[in-house]
Amino acid sequence: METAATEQRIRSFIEATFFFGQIDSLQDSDSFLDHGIIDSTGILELIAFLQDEFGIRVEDEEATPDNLDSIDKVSSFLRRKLDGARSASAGREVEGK
Amino acid sequence: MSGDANVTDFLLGGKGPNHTALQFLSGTHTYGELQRAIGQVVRYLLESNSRPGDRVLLVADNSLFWVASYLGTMKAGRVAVPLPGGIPVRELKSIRETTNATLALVQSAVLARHAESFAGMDVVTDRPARPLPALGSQRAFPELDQGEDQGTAGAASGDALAAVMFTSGSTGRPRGVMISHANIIANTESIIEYLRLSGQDRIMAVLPFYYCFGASLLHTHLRVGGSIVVDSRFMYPEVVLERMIEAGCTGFAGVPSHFQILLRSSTLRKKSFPRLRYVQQAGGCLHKPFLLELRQALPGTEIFVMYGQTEATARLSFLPPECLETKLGSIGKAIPGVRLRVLNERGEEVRPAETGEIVAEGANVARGYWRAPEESAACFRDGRLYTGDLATVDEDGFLYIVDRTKDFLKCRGERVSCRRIEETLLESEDLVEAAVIGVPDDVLGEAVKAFVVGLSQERNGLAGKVMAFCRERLPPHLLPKEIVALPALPKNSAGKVLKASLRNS
Repeated sequence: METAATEQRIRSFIEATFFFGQIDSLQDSDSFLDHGIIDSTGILELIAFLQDEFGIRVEDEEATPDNLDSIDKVSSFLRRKLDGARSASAGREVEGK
Repeated sequence: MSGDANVTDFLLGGKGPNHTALQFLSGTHTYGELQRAIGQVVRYLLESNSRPGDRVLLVADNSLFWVASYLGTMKAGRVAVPLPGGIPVRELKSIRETTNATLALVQSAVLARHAESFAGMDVVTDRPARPLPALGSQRAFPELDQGEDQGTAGAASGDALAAVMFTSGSTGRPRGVMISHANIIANTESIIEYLRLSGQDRIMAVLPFYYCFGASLLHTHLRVGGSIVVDSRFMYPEVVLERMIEAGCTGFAGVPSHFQILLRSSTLRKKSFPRLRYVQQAGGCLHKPFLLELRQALPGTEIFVMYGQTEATARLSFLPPECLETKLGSIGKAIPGVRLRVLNERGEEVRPAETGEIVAEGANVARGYWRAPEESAACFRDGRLYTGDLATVDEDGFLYIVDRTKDFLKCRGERVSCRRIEETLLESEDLVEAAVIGVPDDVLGEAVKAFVVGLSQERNGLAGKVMAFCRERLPPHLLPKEIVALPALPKNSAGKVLKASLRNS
């Protein structure tokens, strides 16, 4: 998946959900915590969005600032999850042969 | 007698200077460091143009700056007015006007956002900030001069005002609750007694200190010489849980939404908290299914369900942990030093199963509302606090909140508690939150309208699922006529659901 396209989808979601369209000042590396952008129900919404939109499962253990606390972090977390899912399914194919 | 002391002296007197008081993410501070920081604020205030009894706005997030400003203001005999950093400009303006505050202790990020709201005031910021010409004067907290122990001649104590705590409550516009030095001292002593707090205790504080529940954590743990671990990252419950384990927290305190999130979307159940001795829940009703889940999730921890109001400084009742299951859903009995009665419309104590209003007496009952004589007269009469909360009392004297006076709907002529329906809705594992209001209905008088927040972001189809769930559990006339799935419920900064805004939506 194109990184830029993924980041754009995440940004659009955050914009629509938490900013009502005024997101120009938010940098991709800005911490949601430091900027008071998302609260604790907000983070549940973000997780639900990632699960529904990209077909991944976010474990409770993975809901950490390292994975989720900026647009950059969300998109690299997502990339890792999607890569993991892809290599896992590739592994199954090999075993199946 | 401690009741006549200055509250800051009462909280900090006799503490070992090298003992840890506060653990922020940015660093740890001993009691000695806290005393020095308070000394800076006290000296600044005594040298300022302000007089004893003047109100001082405190607008900041939990930080050493917050604690030093709050305790320093009260030590200097000024009156602290703590406000959330995210306070709307209009509200800030109206509170500034009604309190005639000329001095403000402000987080620099807040000042940058709302510079015009502080025009003409003497302002101290938590860190050096860009100079703003519109201010009366501008200083930065780290640069304030060290104060010797001033002794603060004539500093306030007893019935003198210590703080005005603004509360939006569940209804209506913000009201300033007038809290005296003696109020805080009395409530602090009671809470310490029933929680059996000691210098070994270390509380995880995710609640803001400007909220009476958050402030009570600060008061009680400082008084016993314990420590307060401050973490404002609850949006990531995992990191807070990890920190509780690492820091060896012996206590956790939260409002219902904290526990709902911990139980529905964290690894609370998988982790073990060997040091966790007690959990405090207050700030609204945590519905029964969650209480039972919490009991299971934390088998070795005492769970204190508590009830209170800002109008009572913070706390009025608690349920002894051993009664959690036998008296499930009860707010327990009065805390030490408080008398609670449930009175019917004739002013008599209710019989078992009869509903009445909770009326409180005790040294923690506030002095009234700031400059609101009519509202004060309605709630504070003859030294008693009329809480506006309706309750029943069982044969053993345990209180059960039925609801806020207004949180009912009248369906087929029958008064139905919104809370009872919310409890039923929340038995569904698909839901994180639910709120119920009454809407006019030609047949029923009022019908149920439910606002729900699902665990999944997918809101399509949720209403249908919830309706199917309700059909199995509610009588037909109490089935929601309308179910609205929302991304979150509207809440005030203390986490209370704002039913008024749901009604207007």
